[in-house]
Amino acid sequence: MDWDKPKPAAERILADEWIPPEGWEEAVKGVDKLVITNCGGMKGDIATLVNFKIFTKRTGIPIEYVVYYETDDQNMVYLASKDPNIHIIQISRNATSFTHFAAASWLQKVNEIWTPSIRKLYFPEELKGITYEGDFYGEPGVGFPSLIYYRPSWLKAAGVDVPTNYEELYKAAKKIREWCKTNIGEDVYGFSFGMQSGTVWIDDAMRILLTPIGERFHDPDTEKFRLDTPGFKAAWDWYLRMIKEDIAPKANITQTHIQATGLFGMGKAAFSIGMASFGPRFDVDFPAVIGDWVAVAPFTSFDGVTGPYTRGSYYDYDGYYINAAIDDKHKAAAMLFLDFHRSIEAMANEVLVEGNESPLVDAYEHPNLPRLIHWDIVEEAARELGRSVPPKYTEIPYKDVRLATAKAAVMETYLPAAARAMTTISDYWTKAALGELSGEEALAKADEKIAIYGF
Amino acid sequence: MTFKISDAKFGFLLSFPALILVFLLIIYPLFHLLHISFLRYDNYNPVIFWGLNNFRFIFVDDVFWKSLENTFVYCTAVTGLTLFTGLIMAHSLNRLIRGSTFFRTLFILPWALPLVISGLIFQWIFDPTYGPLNYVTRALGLGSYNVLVDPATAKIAVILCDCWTRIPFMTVIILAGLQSISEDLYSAAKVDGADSLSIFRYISLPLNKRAMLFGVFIVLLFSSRTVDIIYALTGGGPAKATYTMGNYLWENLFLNLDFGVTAAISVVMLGYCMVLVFIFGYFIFRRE
Repeated sequence: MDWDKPKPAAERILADEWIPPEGWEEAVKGVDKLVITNCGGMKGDIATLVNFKIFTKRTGIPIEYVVYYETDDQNMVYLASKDPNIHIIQISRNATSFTHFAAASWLQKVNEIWTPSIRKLYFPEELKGITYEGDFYGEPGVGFPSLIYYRPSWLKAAGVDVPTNYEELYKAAKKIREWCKTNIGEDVYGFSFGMQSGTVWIDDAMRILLTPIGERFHDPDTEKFRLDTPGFKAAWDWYLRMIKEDIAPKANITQTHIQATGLFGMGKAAFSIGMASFGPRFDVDFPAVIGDWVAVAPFTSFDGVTGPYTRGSYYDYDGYYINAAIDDKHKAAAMLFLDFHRSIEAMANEVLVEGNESPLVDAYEHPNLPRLIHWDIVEEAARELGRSVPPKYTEIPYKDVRLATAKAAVMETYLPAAARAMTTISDYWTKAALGELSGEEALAKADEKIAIYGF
Repeated sequence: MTFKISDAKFGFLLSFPALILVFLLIIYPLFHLLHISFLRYDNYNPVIFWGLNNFRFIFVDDVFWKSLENTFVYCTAVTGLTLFTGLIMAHSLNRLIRGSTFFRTLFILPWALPLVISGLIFQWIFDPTYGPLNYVTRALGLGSYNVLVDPATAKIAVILCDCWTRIPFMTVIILAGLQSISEDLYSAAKVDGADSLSIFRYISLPLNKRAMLFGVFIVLLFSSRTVDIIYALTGGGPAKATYTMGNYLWENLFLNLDFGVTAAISVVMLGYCMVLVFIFGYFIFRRE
């Protein structure tokens, strides 16, 4: 395939209707289908299905998807066993799984589709998550920055001002918790956030707070994890106070961020920090909060505590990567899919239909993005998934906030085998939350233990 | 022309297909596992001979000892409770005349469910907001309680869930044993004036010993490897309170991608399973 013909790659990707590269038909001749793994149920990923359908319509290559909750566990089985029947994998634990899969040579390098002229089209930080030791391995897919959600009517009724930093959020949530107990119910809280132990705890709980205040969990020079910074200690303590002072439900300790943000959507919490993609869902699937939710960008300080780095926004994504063990024809078809999925046409669906974020700058600067959506295909996908059709936004909701978040994105990927250290840190936090250790003891022991693992 | 072959050789020929399967599915994988346990195979560094370093790694890891401790407590509790409940169920079913087929089918159902599904069912049962358990406690004025967040109650929850899936098996084994005991013995005992407790103590229990031992052995063996129920119900938490050897193996394989360490853990698990096999094998198969 000639990626710069019939038009330069940048023009093909930014065309209102994606233009496949020259020679693609010959390159993929004989490909019966592409099999792609998907993280979590497809019901929450309607844009993914829409894009699969559009790709099939354009190329004639059917896509068969397989969904898993813990995708990377299954991905590992396919990749390690060199299963030739799984062509593209979607990695959910990008910070850890991607680097390890790449280090094990299980993923296909795709440097040819990431020329410098193409890279300029994307937010540079976001390409880090598909890069390992200088080589490109996939396509960023869609991003999941997080926003702070709150219930404006509850804040007003409780006489609480909208917070502007994390300490103010803590105080506001504490006051609202008391108000909720009296006015709504004992089982309604001030704050809800997923603190389930594991690697995602670092990504979804800690980095969401650290990055916007200018802290970094991972030192890129030493490759060590930094538990001794003022920002990390403040975040560690902040979450502990939320649990110990009954501002957040204790159930959050065992919940994922999706479950915990779902509690906010069910009217069980006044504040939550959740993925931007929850926004469109709050307007349709969560009657308890329709018309009574606001999203703001994560705060940039802990009541004065900030870090030495540029303030950014925590960013993570579910990227698409090609299985290195498949045959050349399927590799060509897989690269074609990656090329399509990074186009403005595919990203329009992700941003407007599902509320995800795009690594493609033009997704936010396009003069008429809604025009690119094929609502007939969206409705068909919604019927197939048995869910409601998302709202037909005429512009990107909270565009300024989301563009600012995407521009300021900070992506971190860690050395292979970082998962062990990350799980250890979150386990010690959980021990502190359960009262088995004090916050300081738990932090000290965690720091000591991860040093044994080389972090 | 006739082809003559000795009985021994003929016997070997007939068992040859099964021996091939045993070799391919048990012997070869076992040696391959042992081989990998001596390698540095972390899918990051080059694969090299690593001696006993993988074993050294796990034996100095406090997570390993925590998982071993949890496994011991878990297996003992699951086996004990399963045996106790199985005995009661089996004796009750043995006495049932009307509806015995219906009740036997009903009791088998938990055994038929995939273990992950059982874990998810219990996760819902214990949900503090929407679960039926807390619905009942709230209705009784006792408030809500988050069973899965407290390490002590989380342990009890996983034990109960596992027992629920294994009690049918134990019941079937004990029931089969009971039904092999001659009715004449029971009749003679009744004629001699023995009460139910004495009949149970001097006839049912001793004559069913072998079946019970077998049931205990199987439950002990299988519960020592449990991953699915714990994974679905608590994920091994909170803070590793319900984290067993099965979880430790799972995490090192799927999260840490360390095949060498995983193989070493497997060898350790195989070791204690073999100890169980020899101990129980002796008591089950010895002549009395």
